[in-house]
Amino acid sequence: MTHTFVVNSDGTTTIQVDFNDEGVDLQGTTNVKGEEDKATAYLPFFESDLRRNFADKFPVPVITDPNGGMI
Amino acid sequence: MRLSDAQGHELKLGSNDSVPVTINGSLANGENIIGKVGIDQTTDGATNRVVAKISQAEGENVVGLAAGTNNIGDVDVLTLPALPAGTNKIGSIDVLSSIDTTNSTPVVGSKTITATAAEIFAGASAKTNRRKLFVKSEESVLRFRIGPSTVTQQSGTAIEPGAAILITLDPAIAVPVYAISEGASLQVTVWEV
Repeated sequence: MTHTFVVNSDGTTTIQVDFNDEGVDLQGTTNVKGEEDKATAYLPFFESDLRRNFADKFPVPVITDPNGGMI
Repeated sequence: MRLSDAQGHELKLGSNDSVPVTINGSLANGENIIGKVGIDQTTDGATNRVVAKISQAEGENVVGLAAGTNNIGDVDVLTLPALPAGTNKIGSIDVLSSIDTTNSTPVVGSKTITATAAEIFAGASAKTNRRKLFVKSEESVLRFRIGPSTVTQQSGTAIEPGAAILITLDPAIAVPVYAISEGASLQVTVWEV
């Protein structure tokens, strides 16, 4: 996931995320109160929410057998 | 007066006889009805078409009817002015759309509310033209607060554990709604329409 922060003049910061680098067509935008430090603190939670709410867009992880092959 | 023919012979008329009469001069003015009259009018309209001239002077064009209460028959109204703003009742009105109605597919999702005030919505961003925002706390201990971007852990509307709030919005105006936890992070479910 890639992200960008845009500090706004009204004391908020816009967070823009894009999962295109993971091969997933999903973009998200939100705003937090504060500057980049607040945005940085909130970013993991925003990412987690998107991965959960749009789980159908993300490929199911393949669990491999420690002895080789797939389970 | 005796009638005679061209040879001078006296004419005697029976009761059913008739004599053609030629009137060389004009008829005098009067009120007597003289029978059917054919009108040959070539100036106004076509032949045999009579145009009524409502005027005081001869030759003037037809003027508008004077104001009054007389019934002049069916009238076709071509255009009507827009109704001015007011409080008059104008009859039954069909309401095409209402903010209270759900007229688009709702968006649902879960959201993590942290100690950083952040915008709250169900999907990847706030739903365009949303008219309702429903937020329900899935937390059993902590409260969170909801309000504008200036909401803090001490201000805003407090939402109790397990409680919910429904916010009605104008779909034409994008109003961001923020939420902040009074303590640690907590989960809420969100519904937007």
